[in-house]
Formats: sequence, structure tokens, C-alpha cells
Amino acid sequence: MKPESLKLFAKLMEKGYITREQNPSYYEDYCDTEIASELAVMEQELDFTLYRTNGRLYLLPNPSNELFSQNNSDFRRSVGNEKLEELYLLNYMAIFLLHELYGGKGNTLQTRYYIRECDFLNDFTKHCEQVRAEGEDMKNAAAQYSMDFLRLADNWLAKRGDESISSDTKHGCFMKIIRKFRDEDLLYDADGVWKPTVKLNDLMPYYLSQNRIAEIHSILEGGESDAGDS
Amino acid sequence: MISAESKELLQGFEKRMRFVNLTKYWLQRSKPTDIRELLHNDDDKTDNLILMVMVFIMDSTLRYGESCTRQDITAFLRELADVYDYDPESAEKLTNYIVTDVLQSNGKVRLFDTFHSSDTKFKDQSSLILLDQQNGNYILSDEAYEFLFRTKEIDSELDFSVNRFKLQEFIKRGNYSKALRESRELVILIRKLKTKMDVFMLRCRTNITEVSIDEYEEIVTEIKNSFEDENKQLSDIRTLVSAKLQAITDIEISKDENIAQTEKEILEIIENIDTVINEQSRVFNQKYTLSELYSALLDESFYYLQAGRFDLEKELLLPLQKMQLQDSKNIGKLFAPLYRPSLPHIFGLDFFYSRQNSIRESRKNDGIDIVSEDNAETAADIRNKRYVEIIRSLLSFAENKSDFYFKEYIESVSKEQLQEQLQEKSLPDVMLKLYGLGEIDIAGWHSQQQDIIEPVGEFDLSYCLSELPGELVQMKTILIHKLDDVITLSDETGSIIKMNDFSIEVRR
Repeated sequence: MKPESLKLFAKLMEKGYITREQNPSYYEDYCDTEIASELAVMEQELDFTLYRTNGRLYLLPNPSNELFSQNNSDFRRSVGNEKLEELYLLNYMAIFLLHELYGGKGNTLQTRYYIRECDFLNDFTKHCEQVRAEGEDMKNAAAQYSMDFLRLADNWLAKRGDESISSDTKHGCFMKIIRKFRDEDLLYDADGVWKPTVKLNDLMPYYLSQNRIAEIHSILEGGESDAGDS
Repeated sequence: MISAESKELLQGFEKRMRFVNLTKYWLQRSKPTDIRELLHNDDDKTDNLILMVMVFIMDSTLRYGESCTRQDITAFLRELADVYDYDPESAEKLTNYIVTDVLQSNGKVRLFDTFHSSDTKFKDQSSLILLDQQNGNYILSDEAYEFLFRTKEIDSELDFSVNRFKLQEFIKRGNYSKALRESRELVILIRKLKTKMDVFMLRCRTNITEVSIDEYEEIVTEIKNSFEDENKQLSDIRTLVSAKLQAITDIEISKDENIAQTEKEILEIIENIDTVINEQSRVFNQKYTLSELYSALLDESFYYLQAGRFDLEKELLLPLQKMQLQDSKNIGKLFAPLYRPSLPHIFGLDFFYSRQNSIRESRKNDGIDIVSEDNAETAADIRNKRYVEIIRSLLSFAENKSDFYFKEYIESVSKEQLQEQLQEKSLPDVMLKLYGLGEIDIAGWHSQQQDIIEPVGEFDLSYCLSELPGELVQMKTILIHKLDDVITLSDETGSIIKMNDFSIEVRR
């Protein structure tokens, strides 16, 4: 194996991607067919996906990767050791946030160029209120929502509206997600609103690719057990 | 069935509608009550105000090289307070409304059902952007510029070479004020082209399947023309205008007010030409990035793009709503491709050390060991003592201060003390809990001192305070505010602990 291949792999592991501007020599290395094919072997054996967009090469850990993909335990560590109920809520909020930004149908993927905290809190609160109302009205609500999810909605609606950073407040929960996304280089603060980074815009077409649907189902059906803490 | 004649008539109809849609974009806006009240419920006047702001942004980005911040817009709106009869202090509120709610539609993509002549069907026309923001500076989009032109400078040709030609002719004739206007328009045109490229690249990144090869070729040709045909001509004009300036400077002795004005205009013309030449080169270089982006996206991502996208709501949100809490442990994995690889937890030094005492480690995480009664008591005692020590040490440090940073406290304690306090992450936990409380309310604690129950190893502020000597608990309250700065500490096993800094205020 060429030393350059390992060096490139190590560089990619640092923050998950390299850019042509910041790491020109590494970026050029990937154009070497021998190095690219050695990386492809690593990709297969170490369970990750290499994804190239304009001027960037990403190393994306596959969800089944036990070696270096982040799981619920990592998430728990980064949002401050919350209980499983809170982690469920925070993870759900994170997916809801992605939906707010990239919930487009048809050819339009992006539905917002940025999001403000107040808009997110309003939308998410309305969503939870609707879930609650349906949960009470409909006889077959159980088929649509699990009891735990109804509790999740209650949990959100019971959160305080003040500015405290504690996870007892809506603001506190929102900021936990935002901080995580900011640390992962997915969103950035653009003059008081949260804007997707180049990384998030680059990765969303991959993230939502139909090719990943089996993988998504497998996670949701519990096929890939996670060492998360309760 | 639509006749061939009518079809011809309606050719490119979507382009006309795009102009109308653009107008609708800001006319059909949200109208919050407080803003309506501020502007006396006058929709017509509000339309005027929004257009004024757009003109202001256009002018600012033109004059000062793409620098138009929120503060600039607020200052402009403050000037208009008298005309509109609102409190100048409300200008900031109006800026937020116009910039965010109106011109950017709260960040939401707006779709307009539009007739497309090519296939005689109605389709969504989107990707309309009026205003974009880069590093705190606001710039109008290509289409917003075009829209503004059509509201006034309708007679002026939008074609780059026509403007360049007019500029050249005005300079030859010594009509500098008109030449200045043309040079400004050239700046606008080159900026338009730049924005057009940026928007195009964003669209490619967001969804390459939405971008047609015709659009790509059109933009590349436009850039090529603007550069290859015009660059030399502009350099010639610059030489010409510099010579004129030199001539004026030479007759400085007879300089009157008019000549000073002309000199000022010429200087601005030169500045504008330089801007155009520079930006032209930049745009031309960017063309390569654009070409590469287009082909790379088509090539590399073909596999993912070709497969189409799944519906986020259907495939992720809805299944999550049916999930049992116990199964939600898996959700973290949904983010695996988005979050960076996290090797340190496995390959960090702590991993190799922790293998040898993994059983003890895991017990520690689970809380107090309740298997053995004796051990549990010991562990609880140790923790209680540690928590008391942390509060004692913190209050001692605070004793003669009115405020300080938590970081200063860390620096003041000895290494051994710190290591002890970092055991089982006690210090970060205490700070987090204190921050959750918001303050150490010593006066309040004094006033309602009750029977203190010894905790079994969890942090209990009342208990800790009760264990301290009286002289240490004389202050009224200690307020704790979190800061964004992060402190990195390492405990005795070498594990890295990251925590936020706090500013601590002591009230007596």
C-alpha cells in the first residue's frame, strides 16, 4: 500500500473531509488511480463511503460502521448526558430540522435557505400540538403514533419558554441540536439565523438518496443495534 | 389544443411570468400587526418603502464594493423616519422585517405555478432569490438587479458591450457624468454575472437534475463573451480615461469647481473600470470551477442522483413517530453519514488504559454500586466529600472578588486538587448543575434552612453549604453565566474533558 493512501485516509479522518483549497496535495493524491483504488479497498473493508463533490472529498462512515461512526452514545455525550426520553426528543428534533430545510418534493430539495430559532420553535410546537390533538381525537391514533411518541410531544409542550439554556426549556433543547450541528459543521450562524454549510448542502443529496433506503429501514427497524445508553 | 400561432405567441412566456413572480415575491408578504401599526396600515406606502430599501442595497453594493450590512440599511431607514412618521428607533425592527421577512421570505423557497411554453404545462417556478447574504453583507440577486433596472433604467440596454460602448463614447465626448453612470452599470452587470454564477452553482449542488445542459451552456457562453470580447476594450478605455485625468491635473492652476467635479467623476470611473476588470477576471477563473462542478457532480454523484430521492417525511419522520422508546437507541445511527468520523473514543490513549479496568469504569457510569452495601456507603461518602470540597474551594476563591471567570478559578487550584475535583467528572457536573440553578442563593438558603439530609453521593447544594464554615457563607448570592469559550482539561487517566467557561458574579 502506498504511504500516500494511508496519509489521505488519516487526513480524511480528521474532520471527515478535505477541500481542494485547503488540502491541495491530498486532493491531488486522490486523483492518482492507484491511491484511489487503495482508498476504495479501505472503503469496502472499513465500512465507509467516499463522496466527492466540487472541490471536496468526504469520508462518510456507514451506519453499520462500528469503528468510527457516531451512535446514540456519542450523541448523548455531545448533548450533555440526557436521559433516553430526551435523546429521543432531540434526535427527532434534529430530523425535523432537516425536514424544515430539505423537505422539498419533486425537483426542489431545499425548502429553506436558512432557519430562525423562532420559526423552528413555532413549527415544532405546532407539530407537537397537532400530534397531541390527533392522539386524543382519533381512535386509531395508536396505529399512527406510539405512546412514547405522544409522550415526546407532551414533553416538548411542557417545556418552558424562557431563555434558559437548560433542557427544560424549548430554547435549551433547540440550542443543544444547533450546537451539535454547528460542531459537526452542518450549520453556521449567519447574522442571527442558522444557515446550512457547504457540507450539509453537499451531503443532503447523498443522505436522501433512494440507494440508502434499505440502510435507513434497517436502522429504524432495529436491525443495527446501537450501544446507546438508557 | 393550442394553435401553432398561439404557441409562438406564448414562447418564453415563463420568462415574463418570472418577472411577475418576482414582483409577487415581495408584494405577497407577511404583514405582522406591529409592522402594520408602525407604518400606519398603509400598504401602498409600505410597498414604496420596500422598493426604496432595494434601491438602497443596489446603490450601496455598487458604490462601496458589495458592502451593505444591516446597520447600513437601518441607518437609511432612520433617515426616512420623518417621511413615514415612525419612531427612528424602530428602524432596526423595520430592517429585520424588510430584509428577513420580505426580501428573503423568511428563508423559505417560494414556488409559483407558472405556464411553461415548451411543453404547454404549468410547473412550479422556484429558485427566486431577491437578496443574499455573505459574511454579514447583503447583495441583491441577479434577478433583483434586473427587476430594479426595469423599474427605472428601462431604456438602458442590459447588454454588457452596449454599456461599454456607451461608456467609451461618453468619455470621448467629455461627458463624464453620463460616463460615470455607464461605468456604474458595468459594475452592476459584472456583479449580476457573478451572482448568476453563484446561484447556478448553488442550484447544481442542491439538485443537479434540476439544471439543464442548455442553462449550463448559456452561462458559460455569457462569461466567455463578457471576458474575451470586453476585457481588452475595457483596458483601452482605462488608458483613455487616465490620459484625460492627466490632462486635467496638468491644468491644475486654472482649476475651478467644475473641474474638481470632473476630476472626482473620472476617478470614480477609473475605480469602476478597475472593479469591472478585476471582477471579470475573477468570474472568468470561476468559470473553470463551475465547469468542473457541473461535470464532477454529474459524474461522481450520478449513482446517487440517478436513484432519486426518498421522501424525508415518509421515510424518517413518520417511522420515528411510531417508535417505541426502547428502540429509539438506534436513531443516533441515522446521522452517521452527516457526523464526522469519531475515532478518538476508540483509538485514544484512554481506550488502551480503560480496557484493563473496564468493569470498574462501567460501574462508575451506572452510578453507585448498590451490590455491596459497605462499598456503596464508602463511594457515597467520597462523593459527598468531593462535592463539599468543590463548593468550599469555589466559595473561598470567590471570597474577595466581585466577579471572575471560572477559568481563573481552575488556574488557581493546585494540580492535585484539580485532579481530585475532576474525578468522575465531578467538577463539570457541579458547574452544570449550578448553571442549571442559575445561582448559588446563599441568602435564600439561610432564610429557609431546614433539616439537611445527607445525600447518597449525588450533588446537593444545601448539604454542601451546610458543611462549610460560617465565614465562607456570608455572601448573598453568586450568579453563574455560561460563556461560549471552551476550557479543555484532562483528568488523571488522560481523558480530555471539555466544558464551557462561566462568568461568576458575587453579590454581597
